Amino acid sequence: MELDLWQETLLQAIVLGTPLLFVASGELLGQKVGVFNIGIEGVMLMGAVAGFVGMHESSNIAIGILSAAVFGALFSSLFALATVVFRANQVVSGFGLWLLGLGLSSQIGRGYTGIRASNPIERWEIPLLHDIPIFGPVLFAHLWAVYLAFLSPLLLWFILQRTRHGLNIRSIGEDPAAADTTGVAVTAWRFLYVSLGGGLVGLGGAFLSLGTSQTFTQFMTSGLGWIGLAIVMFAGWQPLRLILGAYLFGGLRALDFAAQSADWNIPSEFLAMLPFLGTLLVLLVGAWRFRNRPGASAAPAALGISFFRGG
Amino acid sequence: MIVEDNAPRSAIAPLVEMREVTKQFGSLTAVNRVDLDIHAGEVHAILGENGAGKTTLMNVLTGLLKPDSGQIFLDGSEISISSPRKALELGIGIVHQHFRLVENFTAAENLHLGWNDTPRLAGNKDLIDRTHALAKQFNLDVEPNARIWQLSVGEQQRVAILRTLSRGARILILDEPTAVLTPPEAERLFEMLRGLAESSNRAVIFISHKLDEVITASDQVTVLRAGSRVNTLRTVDCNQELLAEMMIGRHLDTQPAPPAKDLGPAVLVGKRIVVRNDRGLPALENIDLELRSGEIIGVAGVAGNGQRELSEVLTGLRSIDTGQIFVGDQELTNADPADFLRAGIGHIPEDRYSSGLVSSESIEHNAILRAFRDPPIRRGLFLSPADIKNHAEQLVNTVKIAVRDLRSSVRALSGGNAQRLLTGREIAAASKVLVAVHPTRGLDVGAAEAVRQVLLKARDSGVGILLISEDLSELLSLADRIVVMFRGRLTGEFNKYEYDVNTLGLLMGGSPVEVS
Repeated sequence: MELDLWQETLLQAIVLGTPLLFVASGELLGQKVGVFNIGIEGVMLMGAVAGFVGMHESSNIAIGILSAAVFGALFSSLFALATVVFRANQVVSGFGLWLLGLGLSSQIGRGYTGIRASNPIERWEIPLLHDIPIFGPVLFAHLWAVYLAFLSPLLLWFILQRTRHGLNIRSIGEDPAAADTTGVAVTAWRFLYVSLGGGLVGLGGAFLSLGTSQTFTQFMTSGLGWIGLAIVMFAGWQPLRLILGAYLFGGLRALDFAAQSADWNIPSEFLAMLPFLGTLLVLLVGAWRFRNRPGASAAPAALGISFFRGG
Repeated sequence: MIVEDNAPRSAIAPLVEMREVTKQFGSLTAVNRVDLDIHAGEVHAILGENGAGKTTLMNVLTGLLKPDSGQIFLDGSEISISSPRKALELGIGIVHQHFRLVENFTAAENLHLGWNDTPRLAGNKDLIDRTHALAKQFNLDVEPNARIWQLSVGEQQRVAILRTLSRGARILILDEPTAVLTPPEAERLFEMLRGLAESSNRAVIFISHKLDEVITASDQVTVLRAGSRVNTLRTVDCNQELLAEMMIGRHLDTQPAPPAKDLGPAVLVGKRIVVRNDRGLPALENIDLELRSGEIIGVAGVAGNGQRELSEVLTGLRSIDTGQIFVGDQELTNADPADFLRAGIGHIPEDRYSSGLVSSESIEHNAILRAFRDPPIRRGLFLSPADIKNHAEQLVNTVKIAVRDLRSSVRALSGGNAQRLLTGREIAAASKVLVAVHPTRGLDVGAAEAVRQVLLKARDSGVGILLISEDLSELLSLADRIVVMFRGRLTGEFNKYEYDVNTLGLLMGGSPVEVS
């Protein structure tokens, strides 16, 4: 079926928003327990390369996806070890993680660059829904990982807002001392969820190398991890708003494609810049909303602060 | 017929036994070989001054701190309390002085946090319904959907108490539970504690430095001094003088302060002040207030009736909806806090650690917070280290606190010393007016007396003082006039010697009273 320009742009917005949704969901999970991981760009690259290598060596897409999640989680657990267990500064450790991810993924991926993915993520057209006029082909004819990404913030929302465990882990991000007092295992849960969040970020990377690009290239995430950080802020730390944020930023990226296909007279560089301009705006708006409550924000109150019992 | 229970207490096996428990922090021995027996069915008071080791001892019992040596027995068998979670599992629950509630969470969320009785699947509405039920069960007035930061300290405490009670602790520990309560509330609390203790297998421990409440509310009292246990007594065998002597080793001066002599002109005037609180509800309704130079006006009332908003309004921290505020001849309606400071208003806030002091900063830097904008400390664009040091040294000497290193963190000071530092700093800044909120809360008898003397001295030098306190005896002793706050209104005004405690108590509880 031929899509018109707007349908194509919306479709692209969802496709380009998908890695952002994985990354932002993973980052949100870590931030909800109070750990600010600015190194997710590096985690994403590790997921991209681990996913590609796993798929290539096994010729099995499931193993590829799984290894992206596992290596994303393991790589993030390094960061969790430094910041949660040894209480290193989260910003400095995050930069370290980013740079390590850049170098390590390039090194591992060296022998795999230029190879096409033999078993990429497949397209699933959802029966019936796909036949809905206009929206069907836009919403329900995607790579299957797109649906998975859409589910991850829903799952996060359910766990965080509708379960006892979610209440407990949210308290870790708000006030670890209070959580500790009531018997919540602050260090263990922080470690676990920072790592699991890394698994989601890894999936975001694998979506690129196994889904949209279907090949691994050095530094292929090109700043998506950083935009993921902004989407968490844009969402005001609310899981469901991640969906809006990710597809909105995906839409900004899709405009570039639309402009090229429609021959708009707008420089491509300007359009490519939009997501980052949007990031800046998100930060400004975030600060503006709380101008009347100094020190307050929608962020978890203990975000970025190491926890020492009795401190 | 009454059958007397002649069995000596020691013959009954204690519920909890602590044997020779010692806890050191560096070179300081906070708790030194302390023995403690807690029996089921008793209310046991732990009495001592600040720094006597009461809180440390209880932190050991609740698994927050590991003892360096000593043993703990529960029902006769030795236990190791490795964490607060373990303590909760064993049935040992504590309501801390700082309640350890999550500020951004609702009361309902705080109540259900880290609790195995919380249903695994529970949305906000479930939590609110359950909180309503629990609040009713324990007869505590708690608003489930209010966030903690929106509540007064007194309201927060109710959430914390309800939380610990809900979890069915067999041993309920309260760290200075009445510090924020009015007398009727405290009475109700102790009645409830008594009921809890008398139901089988429960014991209540409360930490206190208030002699009268120890006498009225406890069955047994253990007195600590400088980390060591002085004695454990049946409360019926004690009186206040005896306990005071054991606690501080000297007699108390309990005479009321002399009244103000020369009243000067009005230094702080509020006219028809109307304010909404953080939840958008009316907090202050048509407050008229005139504070004159050289007098202390005491504001009595239950926490959460607008005292916090009043203190914030009068120091520029909160803007008002309608009304006017004058300092001297100068109108300061909705001016900056800095303008209030420049006009000569000092402020001892409700919570010294979150708004009075910067707890991550040094003693030195905390000492200059009100003075660093001006010479000699400020030299053009820079601050002069030598003058910072001088200023801090002078302040520390004036308020008589022993400090080894001015650059050490202000957290290293005990509660009493931190409050003295804050009081001294604010009085130095208060050339016209001092707004003091619970200035002696959480302080031991000696430290509280020192702070009161400083307040009286400032009053006699011509400063007008607005003293917001829930300690009625403190207000009766210090205030030249007392006003009562109830639901954002001033409901009564009395001159020194013209009030009686019953009338004040009734007004604080909102009962209409004929004021003659």
